[in-house]
Amino acid sequence: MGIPTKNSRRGPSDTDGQASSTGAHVSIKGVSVEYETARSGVKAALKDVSLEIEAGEFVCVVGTSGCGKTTLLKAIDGLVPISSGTVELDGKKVTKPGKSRSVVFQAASLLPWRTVVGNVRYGLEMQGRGRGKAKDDTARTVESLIELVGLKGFEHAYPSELSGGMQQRVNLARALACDPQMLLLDEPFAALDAQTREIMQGELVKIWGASNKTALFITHQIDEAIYLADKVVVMTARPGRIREVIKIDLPRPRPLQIKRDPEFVAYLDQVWTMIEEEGRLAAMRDRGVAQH
Amino acid sequence: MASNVQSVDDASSVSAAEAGPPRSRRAADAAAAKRRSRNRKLKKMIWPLVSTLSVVVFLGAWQIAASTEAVNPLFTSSPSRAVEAFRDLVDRGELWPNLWISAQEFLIGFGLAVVVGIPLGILIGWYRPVEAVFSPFVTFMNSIPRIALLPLLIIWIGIGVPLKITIVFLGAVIAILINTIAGMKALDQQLLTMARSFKASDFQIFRTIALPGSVPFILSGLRFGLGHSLVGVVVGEMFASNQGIGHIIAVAGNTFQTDLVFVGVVIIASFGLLFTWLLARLEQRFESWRKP
Repeated sequence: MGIPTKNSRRGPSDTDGQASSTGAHVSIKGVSVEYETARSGVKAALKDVSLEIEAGEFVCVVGTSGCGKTTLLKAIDGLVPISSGTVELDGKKVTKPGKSRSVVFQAASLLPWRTVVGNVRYGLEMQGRGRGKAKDDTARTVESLIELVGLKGFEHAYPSELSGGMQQRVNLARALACDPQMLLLDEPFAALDAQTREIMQGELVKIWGASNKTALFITHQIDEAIYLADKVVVMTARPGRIREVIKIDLPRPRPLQIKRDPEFVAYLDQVWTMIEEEGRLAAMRDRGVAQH
Repeated sequence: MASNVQSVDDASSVSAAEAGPPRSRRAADAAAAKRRSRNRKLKKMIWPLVSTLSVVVFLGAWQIAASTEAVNPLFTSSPSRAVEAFRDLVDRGELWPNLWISAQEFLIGFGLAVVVGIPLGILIGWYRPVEAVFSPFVTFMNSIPRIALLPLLIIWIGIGVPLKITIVFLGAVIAILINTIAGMKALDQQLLTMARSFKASDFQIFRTIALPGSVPFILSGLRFGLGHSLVGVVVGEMFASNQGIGHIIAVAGNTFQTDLVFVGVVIIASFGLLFTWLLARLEQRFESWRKP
């Protein structure tokens, strides 16, 4: 079921025609990211990662902790410098953050002195939008997004007055407000309790389905990845490489009960086995290092 | 203290629950919650009451000790004697002119410190070159008690009102500077990454994150500066003045009028309390977002 990623599957896809206004096609080729540590010199966080994401596709990335999942997301956004390789969005090379992508962070990262409205419009403001003639449009966009993420009535609440789940909804709405072609989600539900997380998963899929944006979702919850994704990318332990890309052939819309479906459980087993093996390999390697 | 009461309540509700079926547990919980909220209300009222009582008892004991001559009132004075001395001061027409002089010195000196300290602190905290230029002087000024400069300042400025304004200014401005600088540097890295991902420019980050984020620091700088200012007024007037509340205190002490010394001390204390209260009001205004 796994599809080797090295052989690029780029080609005409049926959503290409409307790619610019909705989802973007992302092409990651041979990307490595290195960083310098004070103690042990240059280390690789990502090594030779290649991945094709079709326009409008929902891709989840899973892997052991510290395997470079977040680095991959930051590389796609242009938040970290790439040592070698390229990231292209609809053929345009990414070097720094741009309007075509929005990040939903693991920590809600809301400005505590701004209300919900102020936080949702923050990204638009930073991009110089929402001023002058566009002011009314922006206000309407913000209002409708707040309603979309289910925070109607909390427009003028401060983040400290919101629960963790509500803060993440603001985080999501802020990213959506910029109307990006691609959403980059960095374990946005990791800090939520199990029940809230499931609710948020369902709503995210609904919102994504309506927008047809391309989405890259980092998580360490395997069931979350399979439930959300068209494609699950399993990464190796440090330095992060892509081990396997698994296509999830489950029909949409997916009700939450699908998580008990035998097919779903089979995917779960498959991914879990790989990650477990990676964890073991990493532990063995660490022990090996320790013995030297 | 508070947690003690809480845990006692919790313990009682748990033991009640263990004894009976779920329904009685719910009842016990409700009762416990009611008790807790009543306790909280009671506590809110009780502590200010205890504080007031504590002061009243202290003043009463003082008065009694002095009236019964258990202590020598010539040394210790007493509340009634202090009130008497205060009336004298008013009757002789000496209170208001002296108070006005001290108030002027304080208000002008502190005002200048605010006007200079906050913008300069922002510049130093934000621009590395500005910091390089100013930080040796700030560090130097911070490490000496500004009162030590008094002899030098007297030679330069004389012993008039401008001298005290300078001392007050020097006392307050360093505290305001240091806190403002710290506030500008204490940027939340997560917010910074978030802003960068939305293409925020350095100036936008300054305006939307650094500046509002430093408000709590600036306010605590004002609070410290306030304390230094009051010390500046009193000590300045004690050493080099022929008017002002500090001068009254110094003269009264030299002529063994302990009653009048206490009057001066209480006047200064009231001044400090008034401004602390005003600052607290300001803080509330700026930080309504902090309250849950």
